Amino acid sequence: MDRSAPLVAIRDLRLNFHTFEGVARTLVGVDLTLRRGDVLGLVGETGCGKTMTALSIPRLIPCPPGEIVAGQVLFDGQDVLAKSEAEMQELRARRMALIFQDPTTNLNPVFTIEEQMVDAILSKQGIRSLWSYTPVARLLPTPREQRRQARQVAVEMLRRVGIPQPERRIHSYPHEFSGGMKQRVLIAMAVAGRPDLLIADEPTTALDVSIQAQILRLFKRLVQEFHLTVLLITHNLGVVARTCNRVAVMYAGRVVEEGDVRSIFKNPQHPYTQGLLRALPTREHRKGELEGIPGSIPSPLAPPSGCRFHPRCPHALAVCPEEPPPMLPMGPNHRVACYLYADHGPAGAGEDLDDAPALLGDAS
Amino acid sequence: MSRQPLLEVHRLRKYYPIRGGLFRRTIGQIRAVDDVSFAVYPGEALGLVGESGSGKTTLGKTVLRLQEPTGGRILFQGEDLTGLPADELQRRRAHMQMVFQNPYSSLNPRMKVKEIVAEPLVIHGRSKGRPLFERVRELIRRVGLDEAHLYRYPHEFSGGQRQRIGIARALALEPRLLVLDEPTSALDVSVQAQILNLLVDLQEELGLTYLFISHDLGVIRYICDRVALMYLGRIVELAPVETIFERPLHPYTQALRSAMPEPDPDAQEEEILLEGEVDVVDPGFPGCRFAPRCPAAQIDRCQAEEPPLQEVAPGHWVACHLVESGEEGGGGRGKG
Ligand SMILES: Nc1ncnc2c1ncn2[C@@H]1O[C@H](COP(=O)(O)OP(=O)(O)O)[C@@H](O)[C@H]1O
Ligand SMILES: Nc1ncnc2c1ncn2[C@@H]1O[C@H](COP(=O)(O)OP(=O)(O)O)[C@@H](O)[C@H]1O
Ligand code: SF4
Ligand code: SF4
Ligand SMILES: [Mg+2]
Ligand SMILES: [Mg+2]
Repeated sequence: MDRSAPLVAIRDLRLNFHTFEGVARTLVGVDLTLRRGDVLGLVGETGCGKTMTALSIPRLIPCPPGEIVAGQVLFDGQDVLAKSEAEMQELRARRMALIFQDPTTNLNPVFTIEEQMVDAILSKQGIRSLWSYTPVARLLPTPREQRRQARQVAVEMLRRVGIPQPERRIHSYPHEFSGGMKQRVLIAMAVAGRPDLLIADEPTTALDVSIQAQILRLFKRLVQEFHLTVLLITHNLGVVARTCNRVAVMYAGRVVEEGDVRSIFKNPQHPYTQGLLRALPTREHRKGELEGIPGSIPSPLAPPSGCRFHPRCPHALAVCPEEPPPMLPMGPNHRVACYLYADHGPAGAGEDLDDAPALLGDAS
Repeated sequence: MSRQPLLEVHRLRKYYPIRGGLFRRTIGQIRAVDDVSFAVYPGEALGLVGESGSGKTTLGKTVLRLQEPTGGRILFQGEDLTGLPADELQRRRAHMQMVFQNPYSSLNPRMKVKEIVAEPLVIHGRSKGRPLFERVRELIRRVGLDEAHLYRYPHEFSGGQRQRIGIARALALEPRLLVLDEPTSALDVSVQAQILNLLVDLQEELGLTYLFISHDLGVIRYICDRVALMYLGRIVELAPVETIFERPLHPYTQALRSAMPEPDPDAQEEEILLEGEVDVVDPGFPGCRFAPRCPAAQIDRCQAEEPPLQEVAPGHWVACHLVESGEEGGGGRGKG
């Protein structure tokens, strides 16, 4: 395994949704790279395609109504879109974990935490499903012994995510936990299978700020302990600044800017990123006019031509409505899709780079 | 501020019964708002901050008497609202309106925008016919929508637009006080910025007074002049906004302040990590309700006695035994 190759590489991903009102062009050429050990914040406003981008990695986009019309999703060098369903299940179970915003949608209310965690751990190990019907099964621990071991792992994981008295609490039902504790249980379940990739979709959005701080701190610790690579979806730029080393900003179905946390926050290049940061109420402009971004996000059913941001962009050029801008390098770890910088890169860099994603894969 | 307060709240309490058992008898009480006193002055924005379940919404609704208080008094322009009969109360209510958090559930889905905005004017018999329509049109323009929007239904609008409609409706009776309950919490940041701009403009132009409820300290810092922090039904600190952000004294305020993620990767503030979660203490517990989570709690006093809200400096109120006894900064963990 090539450790320097990206763990996840999404290239020019295009996703349509077939709806009653027509074809929604939801993702229009998403490019995204996660290097091993990255904690990448994927930000952007509601409906821009963050969840769909993330779901493309475990191939969980509902198709139909969705249809991937172009592009590539590589996980550890393997082409996810080309795999069989069985191979995909295996890959998901062994190497990826997902956490969603609302803990209640992830936990089954009628089973205890123990039952759910033990099942999750066993299915991650794949022992039951793969080997239990073969002659080898006799040499393996009995199912009962397996469950006992899985239970020990579960208790240990609960302890590590900060659930007090895990031996006792493991017998509880989900509703017996508070929101923050449920999210800890989910995190325990997610990392119990030792995944390489953790996808967390708005994991702290429903939580209070003091609980959010606890969960983010836990997250950071686990990333270190388990050598996780994380795709963290959030609309909270403060959470990104506190947690991530890299950021990708999405607008209307595309990644429009990508870079290290510091350079994105200190030196945003894309007019949309600049607008997002200026829209935040900060101490400097108390009660002053917040600049924000005029207008509202476009419908994927009838998106603007060319750069989809052009009707709202204060710097739009004559070319902007014509063709979508190419992704341009702005430094070793910073890329932006905007015509304003078209002559900053090497001549003709735009088109070339778009066709040579490998070049961008390991920018460090 | 030496002016007469617009709104005064004295020792306000709102308890909800906890029912249980076979006959759903009352087996206990939730002290959602418990002995809260404060004043709001004309033209200011008073922020109300706290984690979910701290009693913010209950306080907002009880102040407007959308809910009956369990005890205490509410004075609006010097007049006691708590004893008023229903019809009198209805008249006063015109001066005090509420904007709700959820722009999806707070508008009647079967009414056109025109009817939604006109309804309070009709109920209060303020106007009808042509003048009514003129007023509705003026309101809808004032909140940044246009006349064509009047003939549509709420589901045809985005979250931000719905919140504008809610604001237009709240403004219809020319209120003096607006209680805004998390008005931007469900919105994306660029839309939130537009709504915050609108609220700042409206306040200036119409001389409105705001009681602004939010759990977002960034929004509170932007829009409020003074801030009250609530914890489990009580105000634990109340001070001008700069004081709350620069020199908070209550350990809970300090912890919340440090938990607030600033959109700045260089903001390496030391985190005061609060243990546990908001947990309702047994009503019989005599001590400070924050004691189970307080990093500065002292065994004897904090467990034995609930600290009163006291003015420790002009305009700066704190409910903490440590601050009272002069140990500046209660938790004081902010700088290690
Ligand atoms: N089941 C579906 N049917 C039709 N369109 C869908 C469906 N699911 C998602 N979409 C489309 O995807 C877009 C939102 O993508 P999503 O990834 O959920 O955004 P985000 O997570 O950034 O809020 C929507 O604007 C919608 O067009
Ligand atoms: N109608 C009600 N009946 C019973 N309990 C309620 C009711 N409304 C609120 N509560 C309880 O009162 C407390 C305060 O709630 P709320 O005022 O909604 O807090 P906040 O707005 O700060 O989140 C919570 O414990 C909540 O469960
Ligand atoms: S490409 Fe043009 S419209 Fe798009 S963000 Fe850049 S300047 Fe604005
Ligand atoms: S009174 Fe005691 S427990 Fe309460 S906030 Fe102050 S130090 Fe903490
Ligand atoms: Mg989403
Ligand atoms: Mg509330």
